[in-house]
Amino acid sequence: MRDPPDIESLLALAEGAEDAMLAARCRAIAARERATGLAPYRAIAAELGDDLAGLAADIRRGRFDAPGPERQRLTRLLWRLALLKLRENNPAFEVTKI
Amino acid sequence: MNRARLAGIVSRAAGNAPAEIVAIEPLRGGAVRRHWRVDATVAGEPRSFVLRADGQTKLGFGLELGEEFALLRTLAEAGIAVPPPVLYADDASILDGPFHLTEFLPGSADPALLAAVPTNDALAVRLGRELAALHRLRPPSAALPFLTDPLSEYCTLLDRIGETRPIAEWAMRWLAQNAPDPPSPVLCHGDFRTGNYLVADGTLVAILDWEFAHWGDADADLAWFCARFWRFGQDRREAGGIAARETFLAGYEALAGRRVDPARLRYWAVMAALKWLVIALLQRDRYLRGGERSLDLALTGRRAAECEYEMLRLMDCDARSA
Repeated sequence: MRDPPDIESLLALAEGAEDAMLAARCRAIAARERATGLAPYRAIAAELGDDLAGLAADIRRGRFDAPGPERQRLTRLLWRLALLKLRENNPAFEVTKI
Repeated sequence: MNRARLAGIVSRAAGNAPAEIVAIEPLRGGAVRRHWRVDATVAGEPRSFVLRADGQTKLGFGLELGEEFALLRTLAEAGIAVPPPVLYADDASILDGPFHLTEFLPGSADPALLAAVPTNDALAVRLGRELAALHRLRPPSAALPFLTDPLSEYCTLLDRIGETRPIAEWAMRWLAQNAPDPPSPVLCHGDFRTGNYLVADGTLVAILDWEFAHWGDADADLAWFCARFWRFGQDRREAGGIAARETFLAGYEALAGRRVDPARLRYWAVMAALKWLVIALLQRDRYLRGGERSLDLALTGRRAAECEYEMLRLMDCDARSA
């Protein structure tokens, strides 16, 4: 569920890159991804279900519009996914850090 | 780049005055297009230009260079602060594709530098006023036949990118359900933010990078300018990292003659996050699918996390679980 390109590709690009700041950012993301591992992503994926495309289509069609436990459960999962990715890619962007 | 042929078209643009190209240097900045500084002598006088051409790979939406050049001419005639347009050329014998020349202007557009200095209220007010002046331009304009309303474009582009992104779907659903009444469309810059304007001695020189210009909702430009993505480490200065949002909006409101509605701004802030997500993924795809070997482009794809986080935060989803 991580966004492409994968970290190996980014690190390969970072090697010998002219922009030292971008290269350092890649290494920092890599370190955070190693620390996080895959387990939290697998847990979210398991809860979201196998048919992610179907889920996306259901959201678009309005299946989760009505307040209730189904909607609440989904938004909780979306938040977990968003925070997981943000904390790996740019933790300083989280509003609590302002 | 063929200097002799370039000198030839510069000469023609100057009424057949003798022209010689003295130096050509690539310029930094501009994530979508390439830029060079061109130093020349024209009729014996030193002149400097900025040559703007497509990138190695294209983003897949936005104005073509010829359209952007036509827009620059219209804007210059309307008194908007733009680099004075000089010429447009579609001559493959000069460069590898079409390009346009504008006058080279002094100053910096480096967002890190602009956000690193103390709060600049005067600049924020001026930018607000400049945007209000731009928004006075309304369709139809015979000189701008190519601009369309892009609102539905983001959804289409996201579908074309072809990734399943439930958070973006959630945002698109929210945007569809919370759309404000459409106002009369105005000319929007489409990428009005710190990094896309030139400043010298703390004062605005020109607004740059018009490839995303379109007819649309004026509040979209205001929200884009204030989006967190464009504050460059100065999160508390909501107006592009240079000043308070209220200061920028006061400049805008004074010339626009209307009060900006915070609820509409919030809507357009969510749209801004969706738009930046789409652009970030398209930029990333120039590396992933277009083969342009660029760490900057590749890393831009990882900014999707910021966009998705910001969408959820701005929509005020009630089930946050940290």
